[in-house]
Amino acid sequence: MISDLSQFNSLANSLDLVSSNLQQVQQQVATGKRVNVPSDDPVAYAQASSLNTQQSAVSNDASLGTQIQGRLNTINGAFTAATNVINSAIATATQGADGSVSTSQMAELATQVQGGLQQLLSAGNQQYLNAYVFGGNQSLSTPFRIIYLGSL
Amino acid sequence: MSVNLSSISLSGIQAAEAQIAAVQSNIANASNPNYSVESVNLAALPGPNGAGSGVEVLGTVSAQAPLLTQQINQNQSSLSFNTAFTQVAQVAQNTISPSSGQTLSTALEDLFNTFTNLSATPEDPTVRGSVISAAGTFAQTAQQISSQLNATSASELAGLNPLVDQVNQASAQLAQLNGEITAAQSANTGDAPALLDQRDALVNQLSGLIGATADANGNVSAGGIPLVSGTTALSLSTTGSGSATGLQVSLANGSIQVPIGELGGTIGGVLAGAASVNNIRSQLDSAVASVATAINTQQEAGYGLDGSTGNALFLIPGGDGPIALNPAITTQNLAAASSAAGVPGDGSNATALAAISNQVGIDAGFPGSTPTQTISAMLSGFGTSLQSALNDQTNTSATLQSLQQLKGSITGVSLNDQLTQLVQYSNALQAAGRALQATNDMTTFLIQVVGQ
Repeated sequence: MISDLSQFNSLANSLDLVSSNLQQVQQQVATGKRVNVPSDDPVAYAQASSLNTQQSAVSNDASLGTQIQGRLNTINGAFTAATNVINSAIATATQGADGSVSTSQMAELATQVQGGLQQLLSAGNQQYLNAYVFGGNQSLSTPFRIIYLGSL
Repeated sequence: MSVNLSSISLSGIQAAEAQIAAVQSNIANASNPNYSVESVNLAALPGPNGAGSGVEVLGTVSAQAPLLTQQINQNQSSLSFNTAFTQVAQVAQNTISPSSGQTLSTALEDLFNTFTNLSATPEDPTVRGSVISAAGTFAQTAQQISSQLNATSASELAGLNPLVDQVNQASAQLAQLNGEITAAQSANTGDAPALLDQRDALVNQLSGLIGATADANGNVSAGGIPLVSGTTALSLSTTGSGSATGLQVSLANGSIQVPIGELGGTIGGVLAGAASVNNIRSQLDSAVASVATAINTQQEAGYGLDGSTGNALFLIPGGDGPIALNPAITTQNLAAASSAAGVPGDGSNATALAAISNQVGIDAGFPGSTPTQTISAMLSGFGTSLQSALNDQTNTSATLQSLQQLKGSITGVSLNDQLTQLVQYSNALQAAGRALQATNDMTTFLIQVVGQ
């Protein structure tokens, strides 16, 4: 013999249970995640947050890599510029080694050499994000400057 | 010895009336959860020549299920405990693991990432600024979580006083009922069943509130401490505040401290929940303080762009108080980068700072874990206790429901059953009436015959 009150109570409890389960499933569907808070699945939560930490570090490393690539591009550009200057200096020296070069031509070659020197200096003092790329640990001080030993 | 025919019929009418009254009371109380179905106890009256001389109404009794009632009270205590505990713990869980925004782990990850970035461009003021900003966010997040958890446990403990008032009110009513029940039982007034039902309801309420248990005489105790002895109710009150909140009962010659760890019901659940919130707060504070100390030590070993050294990034109070960003730190004296003075391009100290993220055992309680793993292990531990309380809540609720159904089948009112009985008792009343009529006819006939 089941009393009427307990029949109604049982029905009401079942409805409560179903609606609470429904709420949880709706939460999962809305977020697209099975584990939203630690109590959903403590072990999975710990694993997921450990992976999140690694993901955050890796994604930071990736953007840092892009930045370092930018610095290497600057260095590469500086080397290319320096190589060009040296190549043209060799050409100038070969030209000047010829005994038939007149004084006025010599003066012109000297101007070319001086220009090349300035370009070389500028390549050596290349900056990336305000730091001198060839400055070593003294990245805030100008690494190269021209010291003239004789007069031109 | 002659047989009194009319008194036999009259006793039948009285019995049927008593039964109909019981059925009416049952039907009227069909939706009263604290009502136990009543029935009438009858006894046949002995008569001469082996034939009975009528029926006697012994009294109205209510159906009892003492063992089930006890189990229901135990489960009620456990259900209320887990419900209160999970409510407190879920508020705290939303604080330590919000569905959106900054968490303690992400703030710490961001800080370590800025150290890595600083090791690549140690002289860059933008990167140096981002280190200070990430350190500030980490300290602020830790502060917020700590103070929110404090507020949660404080507000839950403040909610104890109304519950304690309810306990005192129920205890007082119960003590009064104990006296009334003793009086009703000795005077046999017939009020006892209704009074017993009322007492059962109060015991159930006290089980849900504080996990109280009662013996057959209505003496109630909670956590081994008496609340009601006979007709005397002892007054319960809260003591202390914050994490030192306790409960005591007042006696004439002093007071007894209630062992709060042994309490069930809503009050036990609130106390256990608040204790668990205080525990996770102190764990997180200590984890934050230990990683901040490790960062400070490494940071103080480095040199700033201005050549200064020994500058702390965080201010760390003693005990388990929350940390704060050192307001004296600037992009110039942030000593995170260099391991010597005057070498702005040296990022080796920043590399060492970033390496703390992989250092295990900074928090002595978690020897094999990195700082972020330590934090997530703490949250996971808190989640485990909450999950188990939620499971207990579901299971206890199901057990309680089936116990109540079982008890309902003994003490509850089935309307179908009552309606059947009503027809049966009405018929009995009619039949007894007819028998009385027959006796009356017979007596009238005899008087006429004798009178002629």
